[in-house]
Amino acid sequence: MSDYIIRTQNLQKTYGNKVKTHALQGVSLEIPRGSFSCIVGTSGHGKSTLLQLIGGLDRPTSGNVFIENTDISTLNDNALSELRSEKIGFVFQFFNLLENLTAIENIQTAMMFKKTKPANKRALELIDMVGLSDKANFKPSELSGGQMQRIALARALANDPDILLMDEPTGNLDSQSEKDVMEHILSIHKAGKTIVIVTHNNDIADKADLIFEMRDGKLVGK
Amino acid sequence: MNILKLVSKNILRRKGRFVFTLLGITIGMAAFVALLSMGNNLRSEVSHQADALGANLIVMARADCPFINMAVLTGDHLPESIPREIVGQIAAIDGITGAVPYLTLASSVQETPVTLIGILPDEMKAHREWSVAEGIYFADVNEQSIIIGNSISVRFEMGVGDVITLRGQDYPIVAVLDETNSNDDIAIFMPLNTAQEVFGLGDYVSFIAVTVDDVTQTDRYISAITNIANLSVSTNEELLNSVLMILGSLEITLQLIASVALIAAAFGIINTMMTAIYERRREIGILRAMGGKSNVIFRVFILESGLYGLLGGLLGFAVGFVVSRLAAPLIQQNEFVAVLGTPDTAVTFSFSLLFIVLGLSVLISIVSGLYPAFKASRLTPMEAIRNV
Ligand SMILES: Nc1ncnc2c1ncn2[C@@H]1O[C@H](COP(=O)(O)OP(=O)(O)OP(=O)(O)O)[C@@H](O)[C@H]1O
Ligand SMILES: [Mg+2]
Repeated sequence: MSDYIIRTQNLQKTYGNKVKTHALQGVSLEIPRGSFSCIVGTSGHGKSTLLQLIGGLDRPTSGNVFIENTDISTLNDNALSELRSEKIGFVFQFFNLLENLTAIENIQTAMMFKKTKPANKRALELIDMVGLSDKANFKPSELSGGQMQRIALARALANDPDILLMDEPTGNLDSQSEKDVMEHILSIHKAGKTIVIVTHNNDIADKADLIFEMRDGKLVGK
Repeated sequence: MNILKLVSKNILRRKGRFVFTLLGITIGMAAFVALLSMGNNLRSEVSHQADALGANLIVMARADCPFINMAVLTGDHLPESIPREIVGQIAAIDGITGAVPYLTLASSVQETPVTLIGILPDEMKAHREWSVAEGIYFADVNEQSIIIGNSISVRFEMGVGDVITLRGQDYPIVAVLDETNSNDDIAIFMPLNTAQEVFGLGDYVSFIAVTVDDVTQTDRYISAITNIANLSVSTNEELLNSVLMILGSLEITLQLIASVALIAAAFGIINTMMTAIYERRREIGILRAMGGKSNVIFRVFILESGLYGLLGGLLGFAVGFVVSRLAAPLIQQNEFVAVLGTPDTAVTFSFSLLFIVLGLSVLISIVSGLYPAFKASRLTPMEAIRNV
């Protein structure tokens, strides 16, 4: 048994029916437990697609994703949902907060899906951690891009997942907030979580244990 | 956070949509309720009148048109065609306990048509179990005066001491009857002799209401009566059925309109719920991405759709009820239906209708809400979020 918490084998993803976009064209990678990895590359080369497949948010056209040696394409819908709620925290490139819920309710909603529900005060701790206690009862439309991103991060951490997948989590932040968020991420990493970040930011990439560079749906070097 | 809280927040934070979705369901169900209850009312009204008649058999002249029977129930006037001596002969038949003649005539009060009924004062009072609200009942079979039904007194603001003009002659009102909840409330009465005299008629009556000892021997009574004279004898069920048959066609029309309204309502609801949920595929995707299982998503949307259905059904029932009450007078102005109208022909509250309406609107809402939710949950979270 390897200690790769995430593995992919020859992952392919093709979008579209008539006009086909081959977003991933055979990606194989291995990510050790507790590591800090970055996926880099220019726009439109398949970074988000790769991260979404790893997170079980979409199904590959072919190839496999293993999370802790479970081939997630063999999981049924419920088991995959369970995996997402128990093991994976995901921060979307475009936040994807629930518009009609407040910041704190967004975090609490994620908690509702875990089997052993986290204590209610955890939502408050998380929102405090990202420095937005005073905005707890604001709706996403009343928050800035950076604030939404931090709420999305807090939501991803709601169920204390082993794996944290983040798609450009600092893309919308000024340099100060970016530093703050990076500090949170690093401390989460120190606590033993496996982290995979898609980023254009070299400062972040410099701190990574592993760097995967995407070009035209393939990995180039490590 | 739990499902109920999530649903209530979802609904309440979207006030605009909440109101319009609810409105769509409400209007649909209201149209259905209004039309359906009007149809039902007609039927119960006719049955009520038949009960109120309190007779087992009705003896009439043979008529070409069977619909003329209806006049007995509606209180309209029938031609006078049965010689009065027949009444006594029928009453003498073994097993017949009463034969009460009616002479129904067209008259008017304050230029409004009102049926005048010539009666045998004592027999009629006993037969219909009348009581007097005001004044003194006819003391003499030749009395030159009038007694009026309760609703007539209310409607025309008339009472003891007022007069009614018939054929250029004034006749005093000597009494007002208590409310009977039958057509007696909207008629005026004179002793039979007086009525015949005033209208210059011979000694004839319009129909005879007969009560019998033993309803199982109805056939025997009928042949005994037809042996006396060539008359038409109907049981009150037959009478009722012939009226209901005509009403049936009216009812079918109303029910057809009601079902069209229901179908329109159903599509309205389906449309509102479907768009409401299609718009929310992204939301479904996000919930799924966070680890929500499809059955949880379903529960959220069943609850939400069901709540819309329940509220919309309740509101629709209430609105439809009020509308049909407001529309009842309009319907009664219809020539045909008008004859059925006693003052309290209105929509009767019915629990079974309420349950049907609630059941239907909840069912339609849930089904139409669940279909798009089901489709969305078949997608992967990313597909739902991207809204393909
Ligand atoms: N739903 C979709 N349907 C069709 N094509 C898609 C879809 N999503 C992504 N693509 C295509 O797949 C390719 C990879 O997209 P992806 O979002 O993974 O890129 P990315 O590396 O994350 O880019 P960015 O840095 O701009 O976020 C792009 O060419 C994109 O146009
Ligand atoms: Mg991307």
